[in-house]
Amino acid sequence: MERWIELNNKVLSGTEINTTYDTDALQVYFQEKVNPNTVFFHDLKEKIRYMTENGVWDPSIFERYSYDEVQQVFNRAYGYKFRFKSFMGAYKFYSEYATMTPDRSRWLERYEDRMSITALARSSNVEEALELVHHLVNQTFTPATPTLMNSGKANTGRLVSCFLLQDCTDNLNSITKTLSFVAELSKGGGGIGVEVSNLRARGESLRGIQNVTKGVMGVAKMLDNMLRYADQAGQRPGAGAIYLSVMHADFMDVLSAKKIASDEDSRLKTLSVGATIPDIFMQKVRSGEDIYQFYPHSIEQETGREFTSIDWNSEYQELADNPRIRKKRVSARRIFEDIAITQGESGYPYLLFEGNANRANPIPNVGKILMSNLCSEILQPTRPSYFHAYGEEHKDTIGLDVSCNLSSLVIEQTVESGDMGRVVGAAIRMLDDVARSTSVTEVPAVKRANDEMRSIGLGAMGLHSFLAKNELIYGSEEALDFVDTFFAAVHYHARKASMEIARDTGFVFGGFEGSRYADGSYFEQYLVKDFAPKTAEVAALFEGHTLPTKEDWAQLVRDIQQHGLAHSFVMAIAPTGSISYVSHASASIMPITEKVETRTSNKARTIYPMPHLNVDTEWYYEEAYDMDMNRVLDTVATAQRHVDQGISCTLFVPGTSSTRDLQRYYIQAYLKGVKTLYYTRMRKTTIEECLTCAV
Amino acid sequence: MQPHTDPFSATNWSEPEDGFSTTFYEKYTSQLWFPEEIPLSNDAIVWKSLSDAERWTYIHASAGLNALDTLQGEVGMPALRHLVDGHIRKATIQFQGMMEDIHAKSYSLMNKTFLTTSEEREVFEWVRTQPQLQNKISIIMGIYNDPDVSNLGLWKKMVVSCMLETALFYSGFFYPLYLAGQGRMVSAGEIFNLIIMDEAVHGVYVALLAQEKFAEMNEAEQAYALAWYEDTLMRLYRNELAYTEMLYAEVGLVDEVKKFIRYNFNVLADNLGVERSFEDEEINPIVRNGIKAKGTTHDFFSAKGNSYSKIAVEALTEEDMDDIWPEPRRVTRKEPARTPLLEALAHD
Repeated sequence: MERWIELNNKVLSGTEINTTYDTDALQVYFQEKVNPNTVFFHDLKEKIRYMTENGVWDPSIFERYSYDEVQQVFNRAYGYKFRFKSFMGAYKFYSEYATMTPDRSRWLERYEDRMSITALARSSNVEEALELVHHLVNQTFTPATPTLMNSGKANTGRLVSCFLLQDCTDNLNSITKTLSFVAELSKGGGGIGVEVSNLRARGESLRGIQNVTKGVMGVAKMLDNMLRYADQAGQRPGAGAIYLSVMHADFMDVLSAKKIASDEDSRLKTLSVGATIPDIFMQKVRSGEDIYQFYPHSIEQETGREFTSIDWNSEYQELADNPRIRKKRVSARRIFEDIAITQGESGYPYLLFEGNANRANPIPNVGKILMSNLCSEILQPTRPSYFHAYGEEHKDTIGLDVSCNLSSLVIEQTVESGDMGRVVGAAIRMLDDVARSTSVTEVPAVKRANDEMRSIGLGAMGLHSFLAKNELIYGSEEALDFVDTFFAAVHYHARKASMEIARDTGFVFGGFEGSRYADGSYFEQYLVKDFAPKTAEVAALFEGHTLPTKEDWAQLVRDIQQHGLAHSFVMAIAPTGSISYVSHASASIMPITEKVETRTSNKARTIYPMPHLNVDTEWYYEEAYDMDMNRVLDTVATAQRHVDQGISCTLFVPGTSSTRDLQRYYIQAYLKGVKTLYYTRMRKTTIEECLTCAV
Repeated sequence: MQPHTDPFSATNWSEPEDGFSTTFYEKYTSQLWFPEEIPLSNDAIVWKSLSDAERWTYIHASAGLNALDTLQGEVGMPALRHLVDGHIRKATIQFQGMMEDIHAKSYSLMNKTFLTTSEEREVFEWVRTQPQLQNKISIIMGIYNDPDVSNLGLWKKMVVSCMLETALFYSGFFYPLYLAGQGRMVSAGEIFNLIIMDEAVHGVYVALLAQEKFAEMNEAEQAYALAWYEDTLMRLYRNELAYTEMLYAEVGLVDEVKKFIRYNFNVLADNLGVERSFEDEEINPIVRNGIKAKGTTHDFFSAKGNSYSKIAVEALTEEDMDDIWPEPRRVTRKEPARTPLLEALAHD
């Protein structure tokens, strides 16, 4: 057993959280592991030569900088004398992010090297690189894992790892194309969301022959297998989610595939399942009425419409009344309960409240929001693609998919920097670079969306740790006040940076004209009132900050109308995993699950006391499972008002919870305007974490 | 407690209250020992040769035992002594209680011998915060403090005392026995042997008293008592598995210890005259030699390994609906009234 692990494990032994052990572990880890096992270079020149000649760093990066400029960036990085604050942070970083020799025996990069090369790779001139390295080293924001891990490398993986596909339209060519796209993205470690509601249901007709189709499950099983087959060279299995409308006749089939009692043949082993829930369904749950689930092929034959193009709020009744459309009648509450049962048993399905998502859609002119991703924080309109057989590719229609370019602000460092505009601006510029540097040619609709829409998602992490440090209770009036103020300001600065990029480069995303951005209606709430702190406690936290006012927003809206925006979306709050350890922040904007977290990996059991955990803050670290989830829902709903995409929102409930408790939360989430619900986690139930998307 | 209606009497050792209490009392006095008699410092060099993990398990196992012995000495034995009838029985139980305190002291002495002051403090803090340990203590304490002093109530108190002394202590005993069996930490091992000898006898004595109480219950009470027994045992057993996993994971002995726990729960059942809860299985030979007994079986608790759990299904009620969603909401989006600012912008 390694000494640093042992020391780190000792953290758990006292009542008064004694982080001395963790500090000791950290020190011993560097002294006995990292330092003696790092390849030594006499100077930066030698390091760069070695790294480029040995195929580690991409030599082309150094072409746009003089040696002197590169030196400046590295000097700046090392000049901050950065120190990890927890053993876990250092351990995570050095075991997952820092580049090692091919035999993984020695490190080629230190923390500062990784941050410097990332800054150089993600910038186009030395001023930008110096600015970016400042933020990266000091962790005011942290890029998503693939960006941080792969930036600047010669033999690099992708900078993004999260994709949404709406290519699975109702014909065999599209289905097989989707499978090949999934395989392609999966082998590079992507997490993939696939919309499948347009597939005809089980028992529909095929070329006029009745009762022959295998339905959504047939495709789902293939995706499930494909994701496991096309893994990342055996290191990690692929991860994917399908999104299916609750109005689809196969919905219960797919839900059952996640239940315990399912036999192996009909089980979806690793594929995640998301349920898209329109308002009409929620209304039927409220009234206790039955609802019809429809057969897509039958709808198409009768109306010529695709399933996903139906507006359930206005068209449901007509479809329900049409006797020529095949459908089945079920109790809405019964289905709702089944959703809760399946969530309780397996954590799935994710819920996407279509109405809430689309009411807040800034670009309805581009399309409807139909699906989300593996972590349920990406919400953008997608458009289906149509593929044809070999030799007829010219007939293909390429729709709009999504690639998620993500990064997360570290709330504590962002606020304490005193200049949110500077932090957010740098983060948006880095994400813009990620979007521009990404070209997934293998999946044409992803490439098209990235080229035309250039959507990005700036999120945040460390809410609970920031609140605890400042002795505010998660979900309290003050905490919500903070969330409201903070995210309103982030939104302002993010949008402003996006406008500036459009202004300075002339690039405006496709669909800006006709969007709710262009007519200003999307920003209305900011024009009627200031999002300034309402409580003294929160006002104190923002002391020294210049928060955006109504007038600032009005000016920004005018600027947007004049110059446009470079990005269709700018925000999304992902469930942060590894990078929150590295950045010493609690995950995302969720409450913590344990004051002292125990993480078991294949080699070591590591202990992670929450940031700033001490006798004073301990009280503010209520564990999620002990909380009324309405506090989480309120937090998410408050942030959601300022986040154009979604927020990955996990429900944490005690093992004694019943389906009724879950259903109450679903309804409350829906009524509060929450767009998506991610996993439900019951205490003592382990659920596969969303590894790929976790940024 | 029954008020003393009779005049207070003296203990008459010539007129035994039953066929066994005097024998037990004499056995106890013959076994009396003090930890200072054992040259613990002989183990100091061996202690340093143990790996960190081995030391951790050893000392934390002992610390857990310390807490349990303290519980027995301070809460369990006084409660039983208070409630059993007969001077000799009370005296016997009181002696047991004193020995529990001596056991606790001997664990503390080990800490003092092997650990630095800060390590020692850490171990004691660990006891206060180790969830399974605290859970075990609070389950048992709850029964000791239960105001029910009927036959059933008293029987329960006796049973949990036996559960501790015959089964729950053994997750902690395993490791010292295991090491001592390999010639390591032999002096400390001797202390453990003495303790185990004591506990074995304590467990049998209280189990005999419990059997009496059980016989005095009617059929319905007995049925209830047995159901309670099974339920409490399983609760403690599951807790003990988790405790074992925590305590023994690093030294790779989790499975061995779990078997040992089941084995001892079966011994408990035999002592109490109830059905065994687990099938026989082979326990570690080194440890078996340390306590001399036998048995065979397979793993009872190897439930299907998966991350699923069943959730209780409970219907959503109309009251729930009225509570959280008072009236069906209109979801059609009302066109927001344009603000003057927005108006102005629109005309720009």
